[in-house]
Amino acid sequence: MDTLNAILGGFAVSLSPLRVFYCFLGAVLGTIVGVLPGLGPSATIALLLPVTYRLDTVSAIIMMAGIYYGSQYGGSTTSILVRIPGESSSMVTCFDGYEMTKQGRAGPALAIAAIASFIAGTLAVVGLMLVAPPLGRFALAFGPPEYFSLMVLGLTLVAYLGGESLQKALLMALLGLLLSTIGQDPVAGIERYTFDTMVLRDGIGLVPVFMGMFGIAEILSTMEQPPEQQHLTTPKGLFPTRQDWRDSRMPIARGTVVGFLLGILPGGGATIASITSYVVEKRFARNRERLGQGAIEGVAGPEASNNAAATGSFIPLLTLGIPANVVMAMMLAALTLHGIRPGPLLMQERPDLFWGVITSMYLGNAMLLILNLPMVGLFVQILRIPYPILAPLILLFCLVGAYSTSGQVADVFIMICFGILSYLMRKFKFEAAPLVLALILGKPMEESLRQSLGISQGSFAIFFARPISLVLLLATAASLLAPTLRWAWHRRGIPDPR
Amino acid sequence: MNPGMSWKRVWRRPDVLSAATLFCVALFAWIAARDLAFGTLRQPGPGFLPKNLAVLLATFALLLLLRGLLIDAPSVRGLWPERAGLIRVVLMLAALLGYVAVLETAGFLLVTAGLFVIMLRWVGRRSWITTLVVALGSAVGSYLLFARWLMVSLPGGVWAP
Repeated sequence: MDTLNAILGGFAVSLSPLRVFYCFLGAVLGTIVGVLPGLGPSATIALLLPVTYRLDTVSAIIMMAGIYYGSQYGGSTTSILVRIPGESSSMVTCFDGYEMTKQGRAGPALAIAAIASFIAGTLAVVGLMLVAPPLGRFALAFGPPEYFSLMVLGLTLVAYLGGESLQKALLMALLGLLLSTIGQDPVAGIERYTFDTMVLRDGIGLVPVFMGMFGIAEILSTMEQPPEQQHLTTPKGLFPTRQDWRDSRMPIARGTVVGFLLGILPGGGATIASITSYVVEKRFARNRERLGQGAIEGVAGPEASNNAAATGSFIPLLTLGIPANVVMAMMLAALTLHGIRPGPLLMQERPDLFWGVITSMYLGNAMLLILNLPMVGLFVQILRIPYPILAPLILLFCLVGAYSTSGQVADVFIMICFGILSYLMRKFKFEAAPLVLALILGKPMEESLRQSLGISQGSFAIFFARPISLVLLLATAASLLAPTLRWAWHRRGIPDPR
Repeated sequence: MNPGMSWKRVWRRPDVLSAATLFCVALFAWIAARDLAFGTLRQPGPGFLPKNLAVLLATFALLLLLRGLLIDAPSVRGLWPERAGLIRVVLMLAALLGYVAVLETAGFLLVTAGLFVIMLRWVGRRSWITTLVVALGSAVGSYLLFARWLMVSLPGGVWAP
């Protein structure tokens, strides 16, 4: 009953006209920065931080939260239309989203991305209200050993992202891991593979890699055809069919759960959530064999997942005062700027802030759905532009995006190099996904491995002695053994248990 | 390998060529990491992961090389597009690399307009009118959008407005 009263009180706070306006402003800004590559929510919030000082605390946090979850809606648009992930969390949406566009189904892909984001975002807010405090404590139980085991589990997903050849997928994952070691060593700060250049000191930026491997490589491949044959299929139908709905229901549900749980973990975040959701769909979706060829499940699951993760990441911040990712660190800075210290007592000390922000997310998600659905018709019109004109526009988008991440031309050069690499990889039948996944996971994995060994004074038993870590390692073993067992079953003529 | 098949043809198989390249990458990674301390299994140093990864990459590359040598496959030549397509791809890459080379000296506006002219006129075979209108419109429009409105710092170069 107390919770119900608190929620009603929260709505009273968030539904005041001024806060509705700031929620709307945040959602619109978030959608824009999500669409524009290179300009992420963290940069936007950092830019707006001084401005928010003049606002009251609740309005400021409501607006910033809107920017964050709004960017998850916007990030999918360019992934689906032109194969450039607006945000790293929309990377996997490229795989099936762009294939759907090529088949003239950009409308249903964009619509299901918005609807899945809305459903997941809303359900995650319900989760946030009901289980925030206990889940916050769960996040606290995650130390370096648990992270290492989680990252190891994440890496086994390569086996499912590899396409035809597992051997080639492993090679790409190893190359991705090797590339992730570029930059300062996470423990001692010693430079590795930097060749005395400034740009490599912090490692290879993910945004230029994504843009090169997906955006530039796609244009290079299309340029092989004569200009008169370069075109994207004219969009047929704007909204999902009844079959699309049926196919998307379970992926949205699974994506929401996966995203919410991974979002809570510090460092987990929306990117890993969306990748995990894609792999879960590869394993469980009804049309799993069609994934990667324009299956709506490959859009619905990850898009639900990244939105649920964005909401879930508020739990450790609001209940423990621990930021789960860079955006949450910005939020923490904003709260501190307003003289508020988030933590276990926030719910009692500032219920207006705690419940006001949470309930504003319902409103924000509804606004984003209303904003994004009519935009579907507008966005698919982009595909009517002849490809020879659209291609330099996409290039421009990539060039500005890569340059704006660090303000260095070297990042643009890195993007072009990865574009060439990905183009050649396509020719030689190597998948891009395992390399990108390993590049994302490599650095945090090494960091947590070396920290864990530091804690245990060199004993590997630490990974098996802690229950969460053990469960994750058992899950890793199961996911590695499953294909072998299936193969053995198949050879013996026993039907696949799936 | 079939007897009588020349080594030259074997080396043109896609898997053989890619495996050999990856092996060279692994070798380079090992050599570049030789000064980094390896540490011990219980206390890994900064060279622990790079060196182990280089060895693993080399091992898997050799396995792929072996597979490529044993299984016959069409030559790598079949992977490339016909001449005109290849010229378009090379032209686009040259334009992009040129863009990177002169962006900071010549500035965003001029270089972006130049890139559009190459992409539209010579790669996309559009008319001069379309080329100039789209090139100028995109360069100026994107400058206003990103540099002025979104405050993204773009190089002004000698033509800084």
